[in-house]
Amino acid sequence: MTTLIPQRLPEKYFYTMNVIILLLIASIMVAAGFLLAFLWGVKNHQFDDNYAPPRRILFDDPNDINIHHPENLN
Amino acid sequence: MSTATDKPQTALRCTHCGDPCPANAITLEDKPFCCEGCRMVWQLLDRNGLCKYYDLNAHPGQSLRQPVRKDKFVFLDDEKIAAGLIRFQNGNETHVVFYLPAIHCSSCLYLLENLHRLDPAIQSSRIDFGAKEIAIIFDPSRISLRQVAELLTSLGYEPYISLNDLGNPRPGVDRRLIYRLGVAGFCFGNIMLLSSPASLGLTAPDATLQQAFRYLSLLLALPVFFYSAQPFYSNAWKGLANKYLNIDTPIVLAILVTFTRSAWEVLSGSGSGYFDSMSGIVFFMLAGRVLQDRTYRQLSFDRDYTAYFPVAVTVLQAQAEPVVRSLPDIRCGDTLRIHNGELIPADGILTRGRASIDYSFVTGESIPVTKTVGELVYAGGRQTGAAIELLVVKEVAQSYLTQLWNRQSAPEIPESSFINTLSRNFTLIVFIIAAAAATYWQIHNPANTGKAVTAVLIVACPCALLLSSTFTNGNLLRILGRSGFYLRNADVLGTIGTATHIVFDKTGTLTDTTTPVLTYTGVPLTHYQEQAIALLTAQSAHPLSKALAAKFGPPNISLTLHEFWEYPGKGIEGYVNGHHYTIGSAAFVNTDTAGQVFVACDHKVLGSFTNTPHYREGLKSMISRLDPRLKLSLLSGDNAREAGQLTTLFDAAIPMLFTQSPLDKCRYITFLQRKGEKVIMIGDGLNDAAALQQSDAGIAVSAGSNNFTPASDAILKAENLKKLPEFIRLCRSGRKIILASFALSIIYNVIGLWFAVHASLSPLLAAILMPASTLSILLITYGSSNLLSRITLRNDNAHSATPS
Repeated sequence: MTTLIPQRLPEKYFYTMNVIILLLIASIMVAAGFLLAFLWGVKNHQFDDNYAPPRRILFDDPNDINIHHPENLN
Repeated sequence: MSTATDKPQTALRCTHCGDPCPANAITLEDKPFCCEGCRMVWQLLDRNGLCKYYDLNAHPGQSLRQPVRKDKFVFLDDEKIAAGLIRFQNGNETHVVFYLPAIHCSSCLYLLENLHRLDPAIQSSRIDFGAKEIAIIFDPSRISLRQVAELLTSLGYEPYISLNDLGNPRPGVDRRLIYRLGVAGFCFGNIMLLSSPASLGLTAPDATLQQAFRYLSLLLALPVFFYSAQPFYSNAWKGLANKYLNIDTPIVLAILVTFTRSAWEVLSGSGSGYFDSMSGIVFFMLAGRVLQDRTYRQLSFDRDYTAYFPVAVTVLQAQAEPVVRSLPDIRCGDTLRIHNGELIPADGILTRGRASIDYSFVTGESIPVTKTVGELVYAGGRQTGAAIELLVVKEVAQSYLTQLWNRQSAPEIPESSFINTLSRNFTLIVFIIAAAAATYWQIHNPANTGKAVTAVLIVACPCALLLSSTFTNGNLLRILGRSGFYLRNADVLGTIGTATHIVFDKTGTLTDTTTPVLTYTGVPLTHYQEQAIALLTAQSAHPLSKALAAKFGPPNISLTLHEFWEYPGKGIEGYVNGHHYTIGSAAFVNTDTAGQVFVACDHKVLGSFTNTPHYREGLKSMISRLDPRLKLSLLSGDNAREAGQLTTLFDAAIPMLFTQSPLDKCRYITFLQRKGEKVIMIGDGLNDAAALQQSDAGIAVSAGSNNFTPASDAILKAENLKKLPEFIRLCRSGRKIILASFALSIIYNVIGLWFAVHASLSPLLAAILMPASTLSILLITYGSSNLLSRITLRNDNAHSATPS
């Protein structure tokens, strides 16, 4: 398979390499962002209760929106 | 169930709670209500525009027919007690969390999260549905903690506050495993991506790029190795510290070897290592652990007596007003006042009043026991009727029943479970192969020795075994949980699967004591008399009265009740259409024949009703379906009166022991265990607590979702007791599934090992073998456990359809 790839690369190719490394770092950063979002969600009990939130959102209350959340608990 | 529901005139159901309304139902705006309490809730919600509560679900409310004592929550005014419940406090807001067992539907969610509309002093309220908890933030200057609890109670959501809640905050859910899983997943995905060119044999045209990829992989493998894999290290260390080789030991060895060899390859520039395989294995094994360790948050398997007893009790003082004192402060010699519906927290001598104590949680028997002044009353019962006074003779922690509850069984010795035994043998074989490969290469080509040995250890990691067991167990736990059988953890699966002896408790376990069934003996009753009895008994809240009212009621001919008296602990009397009726105990009705509830009309005894145990549905067929190799026993606290009836259920040859004290039951279990039996104990009440703990697998039968069960290994919903044979069969099949998938993984291992001993395990091969074996194991465990459970449970449905 090595025969498919030329042994000596044109100079231009060298810069493409750097771009790949840059892209790699960028993509890992994005993925790490999602990982942090996941960990943050778990930490904030977002996956604890899968019954209440989907129903809570349906209880619209025009004159009073409950803006307080007991985040300080626990 | 009761005849009441079948008759058209009782189609009237309470708007609030959905209970059938009595003939003289309260109506408001054409809406029927069963009682004043329900009407008041409806009115309150209507006034505040919260009637959506009734639109979301049909009859979502809790019946308020039995009012809660007015000053029940006085103890919340006590700062010391209140401090135990309050999570956070500053000048203008207080945060408190209550456990509300009544939470059950989206209407509850709606109402309880709109508490601020009922009382503006409440700033917000939020429900954790799984835990049935409400977190309330309120303004302490405008409403007290006690008033918050009373508001909840007035809506039908009485907070359950136990001693357990005070002082020691509940341990939070352990989320560390999830964090580790997340990190491992992230690293695994990225490492796979980075190593794909190398795995596919594409030689990087540029050494710099290749090096960059390799070092990045190494960097990403570090969190997996040092952070995510930690649970395996600690388990392996625990095993080694106890001089015991568990399944984690070879896994840790494989992780260590893989990491070291890969790191060495990368650092020396000789290869790209097996970081993808390592992080993948860690990720999948963690996923299996998470699946298996998922617990039921709303259930508690380790209740001690503090969860059952109330927080505070009224103490009478010689020269002063009665005070409310928290339970641990009760001393011998204190006089307690126990109100209707309260628990008796300590053993004491009855000094005033007539005790009629419901020991349903202790013995499983719901018919109250009557005690007179001077008698010793054991803790754990619930007083029904007027308030009584009690002189404490034993402190709470010393009481007979709490002692029983706190009995510690022998310290758990690490059981040589079948997985661990299997893995030990497996590890031994792996070491032999590694040693053989090492010797061979040492002779022929010493350069290859290290390569071959490490490859053998990498390939032969028993992770397939761990994967198959955790995924199978996790899935089985989930399936069993869906059918109302909740196990404490995966080890219980194995214990139930290998048990040889099942011991049943009778009262409350095999019999259903929540609805007494009464049989009548005596002069045949006329229809008119039956209706008169129904009318009279409908006035009383005693369980036997309720059973009688349900048996004959509701009155469908017009009768008038002129006068009615109830004598707690004795009986009731009244005039119906001019006839005098007395219903009650033998002494009350003036007779000396045997029976439980006597009826007399115009001072002439007509006959008596006897409470016959009502066996749960499908028992006979359940027992006949149990594996014949399983030995059975029956223990009962009652006398041998029903032995005859029990032989229709059981083979007459099985041991049936009657009049067993709680300690006798425990001793019987020990006796069986000495004979080498593995015992499942199935019980329900506190009187079985010691036996449940002593047995190898204690299954507590729970009649309702909010019922309290003693400490046990598993909780079984009473209506699913009939599925027990299928549950046992499923527990057994778990082991077969694990073995089958393990056998499959051996095939992969053999292929891998063949290359490994030849010192030619390429990263590509490792990259294919690992996911292939993992995926096939996941498919097999999931597919076969689902399939087996479907077959087993369908069989069960067919069985229960046939009349027993």
